[in-house]
Amino acid sequence: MLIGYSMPLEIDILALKNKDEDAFRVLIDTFGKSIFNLCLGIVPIAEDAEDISQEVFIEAFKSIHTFREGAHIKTWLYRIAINKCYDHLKWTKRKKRYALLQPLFNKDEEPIEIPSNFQHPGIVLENKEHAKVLYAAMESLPENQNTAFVLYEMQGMNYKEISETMSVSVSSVEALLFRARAALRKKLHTYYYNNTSFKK
Amino acid sequence: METNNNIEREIERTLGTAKGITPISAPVQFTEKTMQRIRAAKEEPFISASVLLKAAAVIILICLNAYTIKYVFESPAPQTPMVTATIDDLANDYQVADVSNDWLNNKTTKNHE
Repeated sequence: MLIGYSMPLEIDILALKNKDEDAFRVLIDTFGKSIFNLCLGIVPIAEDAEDISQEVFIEAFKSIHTFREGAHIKTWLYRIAINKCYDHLKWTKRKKRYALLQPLFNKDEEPIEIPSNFQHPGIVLENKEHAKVLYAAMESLPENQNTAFVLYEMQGMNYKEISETMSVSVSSVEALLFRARAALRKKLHTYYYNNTSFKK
Repeated sequence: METNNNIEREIERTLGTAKGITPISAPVQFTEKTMQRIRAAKEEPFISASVLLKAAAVIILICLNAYTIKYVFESPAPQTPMVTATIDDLANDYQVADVSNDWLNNKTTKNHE
């Protein structure tokens, strides 16, 4: 009846729908790690990512009745996680001063803002500075491009899995990834060009 | 030229960090903590007090608005009181001491002639 990381479809959906605690415990044991890592991919602050990951399972508990039988529970959980992460990012951005004025300006022209509270435990120390710059650049991407980039580059998902998770076609995923990479390159070029260490 | 090469190298290295992120284990006691929060969520009333309060405030505001609109449309238009002023009232208003109907009639007749 139950489970293993490689066989997520064997999770007892009926027991989940009956709000069985043991079934939820198994669900969390099975997907806790991947959901946490996904959240870290979008929100690179360990405490926040943990909090969001817990909320994902609470949301799953509350709305398990909406889960269609035959669908992939992992894909469903990933969707909840992605939505929760962006809700969190919107909430934190709202708290920043002048947030109201930000949409008035072209996102491409905004300089990269390096987060001071960056603490991704999955990044080795020597890559930390580059990762900070990357995350700062990713913040300026539109949500769907950022999601595609995180799922492909950080979660190692293939185009088909990403298309199922994001409910878009495979060709759309390709286009999103292409645009995300192009936008990141442009952004990073501006950042490094303005970085004093390169100026002669 | 060298600067451009440096920039390209840095961009590649920065983009490369995305692939180099090691998946890490879920935090300690993650399942237990989540289960506790799920149990707490289970015990929460279906509608929380704050939601009820907000709903009540909205309903009160709607009722007040509806009552105001109803009051405005249903109340009769204010009627101007009928004024029946006599020549004496006019005299009083303008503080004219020696005026009478005869005087006024004479004045009118003369004007007509």
